[in-house]
Amino acid sequence: MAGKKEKAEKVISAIQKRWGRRIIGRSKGALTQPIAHIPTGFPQLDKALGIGGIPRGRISELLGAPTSGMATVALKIISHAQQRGGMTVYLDVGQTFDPDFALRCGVRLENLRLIRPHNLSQALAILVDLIINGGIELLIFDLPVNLQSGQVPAPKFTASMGRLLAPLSKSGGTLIFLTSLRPLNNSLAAYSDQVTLPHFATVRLLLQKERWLYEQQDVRGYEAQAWVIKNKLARPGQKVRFGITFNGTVDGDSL
Amino acid sequence: MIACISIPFFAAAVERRADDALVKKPLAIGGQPWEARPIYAFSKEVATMGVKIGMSLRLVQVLSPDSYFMPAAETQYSQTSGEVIDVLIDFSSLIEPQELWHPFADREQFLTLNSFALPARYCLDLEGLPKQEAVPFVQEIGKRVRAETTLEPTIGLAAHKFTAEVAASVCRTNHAIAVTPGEESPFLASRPLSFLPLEKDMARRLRLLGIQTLGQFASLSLTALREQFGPEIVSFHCLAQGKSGELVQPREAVRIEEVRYEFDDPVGDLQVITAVCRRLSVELSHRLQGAEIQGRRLRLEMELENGEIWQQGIVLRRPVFDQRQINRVTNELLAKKNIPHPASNVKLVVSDLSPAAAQQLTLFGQSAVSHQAQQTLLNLVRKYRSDKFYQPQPVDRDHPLPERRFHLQPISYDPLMV
Repeated sequence: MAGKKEKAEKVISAIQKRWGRRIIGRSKGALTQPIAHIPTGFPQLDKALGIGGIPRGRISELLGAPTSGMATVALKIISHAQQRGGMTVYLDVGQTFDPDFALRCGVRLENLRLIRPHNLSQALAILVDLIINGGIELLIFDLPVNLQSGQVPAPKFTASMGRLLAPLSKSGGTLIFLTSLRPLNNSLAAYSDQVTLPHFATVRLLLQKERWLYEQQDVRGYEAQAWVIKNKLARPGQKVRFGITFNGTVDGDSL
Repeated sequence: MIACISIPFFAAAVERRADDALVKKPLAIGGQPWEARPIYAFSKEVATMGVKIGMSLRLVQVLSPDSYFMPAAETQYSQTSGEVIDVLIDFSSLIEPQELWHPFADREQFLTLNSFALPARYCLDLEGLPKQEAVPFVQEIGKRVRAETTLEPTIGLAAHKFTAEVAASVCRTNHAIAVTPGEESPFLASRPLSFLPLEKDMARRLRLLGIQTLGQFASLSLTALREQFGPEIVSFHCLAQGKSGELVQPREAVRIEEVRYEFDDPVGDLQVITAVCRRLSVELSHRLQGAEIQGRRLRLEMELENGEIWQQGIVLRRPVFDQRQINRVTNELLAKKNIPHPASNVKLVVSDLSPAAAQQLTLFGQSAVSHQAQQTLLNLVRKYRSDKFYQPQPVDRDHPLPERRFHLQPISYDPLMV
């Protein structure tokens, strides 16, 4: 046993000698450090994510059909990210951003920049420029359902994503993709096979509307379910339900 | 009322004022008779021979062989125009100089109106002065201009700018024509259509239709004109009817502050020049602080031994008045470009002046990262154009239509911000 350990130590020291000391490190202590994150504004969802929110310095993906709570969660994340004072950017490819709803979700519009590129290819180029130059606190990339495939070749998309990982990690910026699923088929089966985003995303959340919430026959909100379908930093597979209510402002209530 | 003071054949008048020997000679200004470039200005005698603006000097020589050809002295014309403005400013602060002789003026635009006269023209807004008082007032202006500049003005007085300009154009020198309010249309009716600043094609088509005078043009149906020539004809129709509401657009004087140091002998040593620049920065800073102003554009100029002018300028992101900042910028300007020959003098000029204002310190200042993001964004705006980058701004939070509650303000690229 001792011989094996010595052998392993020798191999490790040889590799470190050739490639540098940082090429191999001990994992001891690494997992005990808290992971930088942005709270989602929904306590149950933060708990389900395991680290307290959406991780900083990484790519995340929110999936859902319209009225699934995806945009609400994204806007709540923006409002929390703005508390640090950094610049937040909303890349609105589908041109569906609603400033009124954003304000009701607590977004400070003066700290938000809205970009509306003409097509997905241009959006991708702007995204790469923004991330590589650094300085962005949070970038939301709203990907409408009709543009998920076809406009950008898959290899180009994959190459772009690959280029973003290191600058994101270095700058601590967060990139969140909002992937719309088709309203009548709110499942991952509708997800395009050509999109390689699942490979690069650290966290993937699937949101679905469960039921409307009524108050004396008036709709006061709806109940949404979030399913953590991928999580590299904590245990995936968690499912959680939370309420989204409209009362002048949009709140995330516990049911 | 609006007064238009016009000095016909301005350049020729300035030349004759400087040299009495030119008084009787027909003058063709702008070069020599063998040159192909267009004539710059001319005197009345040359104009009577059929010479017009835009003709080449060679053609002028053919049309008016007795002309005395001479180069244009633009600096002298500018100085004389400044003298006229100095006189006029005693009467009204609302002066719109229209120096048509100026090479940068849009000559094409004024070609029809003054194709033979080429005057320097100044419109004064007399701000509601009644005609009875305005007439002696403009006569006094004419007398003062003649006395102080020895130039011979013509004066037009009317309720509208265009009518006043036409009146000044048709008036004899040292005289004034006053058009009573309400009588603009009869006054303009017999004047040629060429007074209107029409486009060439539009003027040609009207000529083909047999329209010769402003009165004929004014009597045409506006609906028919609009159908034939488009919506831009409407403003010309109003001008021809004497109904123009165009206001006098006073040009603001460009204010600068400058300090200068003359060397006894030309100096090429950079250390000495740097020391002089430091001294000039201190002097300029004291001057700015004394006047409670700050400047945004800095220019460093040196006259070199061989007669060349060495100059470097910069537009700052924020206006400055502090001597350390001015000195730092000056040093940067010096480092930008070599000084090829010894300098005879050094001049430091600050312009784009504004009142010195206290600057609010940001308690929660932008971090370096945020600044970097802003810069990145501006670069992207420059690259992809501003129609894709927006800043949402609240307009009317209580508007019943949600889309009217906010406005998406395009983020424009400002090179000063980068």
